[in-house]
Amino acid sequence: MSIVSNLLLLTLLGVLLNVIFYKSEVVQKYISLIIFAILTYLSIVMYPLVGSHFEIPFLIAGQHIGFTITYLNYYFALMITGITLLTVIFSLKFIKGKEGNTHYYTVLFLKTFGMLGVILSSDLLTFFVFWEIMSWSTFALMSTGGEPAHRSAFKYFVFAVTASMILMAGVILSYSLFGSFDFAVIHGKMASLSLPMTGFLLTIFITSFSIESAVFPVHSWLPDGYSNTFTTFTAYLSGISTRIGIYGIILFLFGVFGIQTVDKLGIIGKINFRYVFGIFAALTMIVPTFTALYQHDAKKLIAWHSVGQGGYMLIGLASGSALGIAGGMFHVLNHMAYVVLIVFAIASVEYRTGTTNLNKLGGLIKKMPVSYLALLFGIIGLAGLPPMNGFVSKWFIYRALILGGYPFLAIAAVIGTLGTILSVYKLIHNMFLGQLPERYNDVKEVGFSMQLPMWILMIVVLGLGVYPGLAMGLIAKIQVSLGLAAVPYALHGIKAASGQLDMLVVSAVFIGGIAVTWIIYLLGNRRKHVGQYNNYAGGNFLNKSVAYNFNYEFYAALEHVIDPYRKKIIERTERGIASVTDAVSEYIRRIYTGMINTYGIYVVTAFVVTIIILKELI
Amino acid sequence: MNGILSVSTVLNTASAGLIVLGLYIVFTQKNLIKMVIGLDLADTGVNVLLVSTGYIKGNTAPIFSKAGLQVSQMVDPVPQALVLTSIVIGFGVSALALALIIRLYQKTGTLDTSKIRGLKW
Amino acid sequence: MVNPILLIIIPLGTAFLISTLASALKNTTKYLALLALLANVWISISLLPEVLQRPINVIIAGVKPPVGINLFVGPLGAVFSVIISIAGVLILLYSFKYIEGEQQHKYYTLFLLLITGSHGMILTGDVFNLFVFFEILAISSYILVGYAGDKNGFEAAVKYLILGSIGSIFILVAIALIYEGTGTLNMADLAGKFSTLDPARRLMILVFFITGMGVEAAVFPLNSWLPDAHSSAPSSISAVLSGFVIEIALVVIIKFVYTIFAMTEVLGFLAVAGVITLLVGEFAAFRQSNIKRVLAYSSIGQIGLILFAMSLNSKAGINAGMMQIINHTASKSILFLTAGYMIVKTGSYQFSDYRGIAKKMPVSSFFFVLGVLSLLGVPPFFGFFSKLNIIIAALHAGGAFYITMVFLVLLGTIIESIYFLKILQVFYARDTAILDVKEAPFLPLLSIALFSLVILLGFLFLPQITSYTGNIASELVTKLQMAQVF
Repeated sequence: MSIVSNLLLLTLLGVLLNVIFYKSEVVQKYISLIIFAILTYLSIVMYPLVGSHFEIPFLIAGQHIGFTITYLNYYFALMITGITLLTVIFSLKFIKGKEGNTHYYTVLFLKTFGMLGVILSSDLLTFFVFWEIMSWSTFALMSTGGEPAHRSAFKYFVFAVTASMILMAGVILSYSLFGSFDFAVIHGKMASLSLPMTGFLLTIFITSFSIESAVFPVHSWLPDGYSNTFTTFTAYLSGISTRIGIYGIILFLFGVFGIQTVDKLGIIGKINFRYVFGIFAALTMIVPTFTALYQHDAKKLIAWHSVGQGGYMLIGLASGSALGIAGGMFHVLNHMAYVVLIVFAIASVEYRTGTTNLNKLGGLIKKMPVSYLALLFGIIGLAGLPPMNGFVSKWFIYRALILGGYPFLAIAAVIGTLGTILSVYKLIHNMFLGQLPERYNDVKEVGFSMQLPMWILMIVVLGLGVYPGLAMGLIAKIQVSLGLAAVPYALHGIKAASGQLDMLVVSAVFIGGIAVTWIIYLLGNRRKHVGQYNNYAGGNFLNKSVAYNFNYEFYAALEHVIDPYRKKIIERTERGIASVTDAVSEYIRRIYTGMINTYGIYVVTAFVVTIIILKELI
Repeated sequence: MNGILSVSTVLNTASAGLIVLGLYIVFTQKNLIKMVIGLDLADTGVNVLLVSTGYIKGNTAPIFSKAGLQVSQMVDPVPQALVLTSIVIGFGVSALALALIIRLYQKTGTLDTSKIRGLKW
Repeated sequence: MVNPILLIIIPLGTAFLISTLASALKNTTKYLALLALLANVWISISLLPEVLQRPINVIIAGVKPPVGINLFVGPLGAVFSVIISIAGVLILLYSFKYIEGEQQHKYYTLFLLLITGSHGMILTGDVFNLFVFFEILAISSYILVGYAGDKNGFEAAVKYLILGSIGSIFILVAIALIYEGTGTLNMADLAGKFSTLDPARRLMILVFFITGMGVEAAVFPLNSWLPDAHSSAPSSISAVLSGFVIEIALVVIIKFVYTIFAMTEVLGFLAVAGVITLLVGEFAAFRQSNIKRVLAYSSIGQIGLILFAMSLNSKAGINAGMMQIINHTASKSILFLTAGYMIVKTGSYQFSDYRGIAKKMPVSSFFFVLGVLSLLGVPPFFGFFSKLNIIIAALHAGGAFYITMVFLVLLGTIIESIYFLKILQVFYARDTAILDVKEAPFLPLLSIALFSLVILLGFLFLPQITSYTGNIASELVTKLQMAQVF
């Protein structure tokens, strides 16, 4: 009892204190720092309590608010509190004096409260209550940042409220089917449910969570929503917020419904529920990743990748094999680590230069080396190259897809990775490489409190890449607790019969390869250090007065190739739905003509219609 | 009267006619005053209907002070009480309606409902 | 025992007292009105425990029913009296500052008459008496809608009056048919005799009654007066009309269908009517720009939801519907009352003119947000529990039909959330063009704060509230009224 209630009460206390001290930023930030440190500590030491169940003696609809600690939610609780702590440390300086930061920590606490409640809940109703709190606070997070943020947050809200209502329908439908909200009870009775009904129920839940985790056709709220707010919030939201949707999918696919039940939901031949889900996941990998190429804003670019990387997690889960599921779950952690690292690097650049526009930046490598290193680590992770953590989880996923007999999905994953590499190269090039614009000559590296989270995350990204066993231990336990086969792991990788992965070897080969290349490069001795303007273009020498910028329209040629395939179907559909809703409401409100005579006629019409209908009923 | 046209039939027909006529006026007339007249007609129709429910053939008015009149010889007094109430309410509503319409006319300068559509949709 | 008839007599007597003493008391009449309503609150609350033990049957003027007129105070009547009294007092408190001018005693007289009619409609045990109280309620609300004395107010009042009169004609026809068929006007007596009528007459009575009462209860398509009246009335009166007046008419319909007519086979039709009303209300509100029209259309949506819940023909449904009524009374009052001062301060009804008003009126905006959250059913506000119970009840009713209805209700909620959020975003916009706007005065804010206590802390008292509403459910479903009067 104590730890769970302490966790939740402390976050509530955080909300309260921040509301009380809304005028003093200093008080706010130290309160938040202390409380989040305690929260992180509490969620780490929660480990011995795994398997226990708590209830808060408060009735909702005849049901206590129940919490349980499992390996799965322990994993997520660690991620939530850890990443929030890092975000707070980073924010100490970052948000200082920014407009609209009065309620920064308040919404952060509220959001953490919602997320912790969602993952710790042991029954549907508690889950739903916290889910709602979480959605509303996500909306609040997204709203900070002026007019464009309001618009994109509004878009999120439309999706989120739809997801909530779908979830509510699912919650109550399962209550009326099983007579209980409790996950364990529902899981126990699942076998007695007819297959079509199971499919219907699962579809309801998965649809709802897919909206929250931005799966392909319903992802369009995310990029704008995440990138228009504070950059630290972009990190926080991309890192963990979307992944609560993934948590829901893991919980319901494997925990509540169970993989055996899910596998029974066949459609035609080999095409079953998981396969269809996998196709959506594949689309989520490809489409947003290539859209990311087009972005001129670093935050937006990363936000699109947030969507795309979600596809990898989902496709891993959809593969249904131990390896794939482990990969999917591991990728949640990995993605969180490197994406937050990337966004922190972007935020550092923004902190010093005031912009995240990729067409305007460049050449900052010598000015901000730590941020550069952070971004480098992050994008290697994002692109899924060794020796960073992203490689490991993506390797699991590819492997699982090939072994499971989903070659098309595997190809899709590879295509997605290609797009990722292209776009992250644009990111690092346009920010740190190339020419340094004159106006950034006196830019400095960020201070210690902003460097610290980046260093920690760099260690995590590299550490999990070389020693994936650190996380695999917990993931194997989660798999066992969900009734799945566990992946046999070692500290350096996995030791399955189907294939081995030793990250020490891989890293050594990789680093060796780089070293060899470097040596060859040095031996070639073709390089020469020149000044930034010792260069020419179009036969003319460049000087300070010529604004020659490689970064502008970086992938113009590539975009030209992709353009014909971009149909913007989603955007058009969404706009269509919006205008249909508008038209419907416009027609309906014209019923109220304003002319009293017609109103009288309505009464008599209603009278006659009622008689005609009720005559049949009585 | 006997046979085909009983008192109840006449009264029921009259009341139905008055109600339908009154409502018809309300629906078709665009002049607010005429609409109030229509409402009054319909109201009268309902009152006729109410009175007719208490009618017992051959009986007389329920006046207890009249010597020699048995209860069994009287018509039902309850509907008459109801009708009195209803008439008073109807009177009140009509008066209020006309008062409001006068004020509305002062503000808008018209009684035409198709022109008084400041509130719509 | 406190005599429940005081609930009717006190406001009625005070109303006449105020209008006679107006010249002597000047602007202190409002304290008299407050006193009367406080007495009402006390009486209605003290009646509550007693009524739950055993319904109270008050015989008026010594003549026993079915000949005499009686009051019947069951759980429904008692709980509704509490709602009316408390909401009445709080809105009256709000009016203290909101209603100004020399003629304010007229406002308080009419307000008290409105309360009289409300109590009477819900407590009476006599069908014709119901009509009389209905007219008291209706006439006072016609005048109050036009109280502001502007063009819109009169237009809305005239429309409301004409439609209301058509409604009352229908009700009166139903009463005449009832009397002709059964020879009784007493509800309990009628409940026993009604089933002896032939089906055609029962149908006619039912439809006349539903249509007539439905005008006041704002069921689609009888509700065309509502958007005009609720948006043009003074905001305090909008709160009263949306807060409990339409609900009373609705509950009367439900009470008649369940207990007196005992024709539960028509409930499916009413449930569909409820969902249609809900969707029409929400869609019509979607593109409004006038804040009070938004709230008025949203009331139509909510009344549809309540009608749907109460027509589920189960105790759970009525229980949930009653909770939703409590939620709607509190949250819609908050919304209308806060909007009232925003209109006064900015001089505009268009919510697009309120950009960034949260900076100038932070407390009002905060309460507005609370009201919206509860109305939308966001946990942990009270509205969440009522909406949850409604949907549970609907799914328990079972079948594809009710599942479809639930999905439509949820669709309505999505639409509702979207248009309310649009308003909230305007309120909390960072840039603002509003310069010299100040926060509403203390007394109105106090009244709003007390309303918001209901939706904020309601969930702590869920067991108590459900025990009361559960009693109402059993009153309606087990037809308590017939059993206990004689």
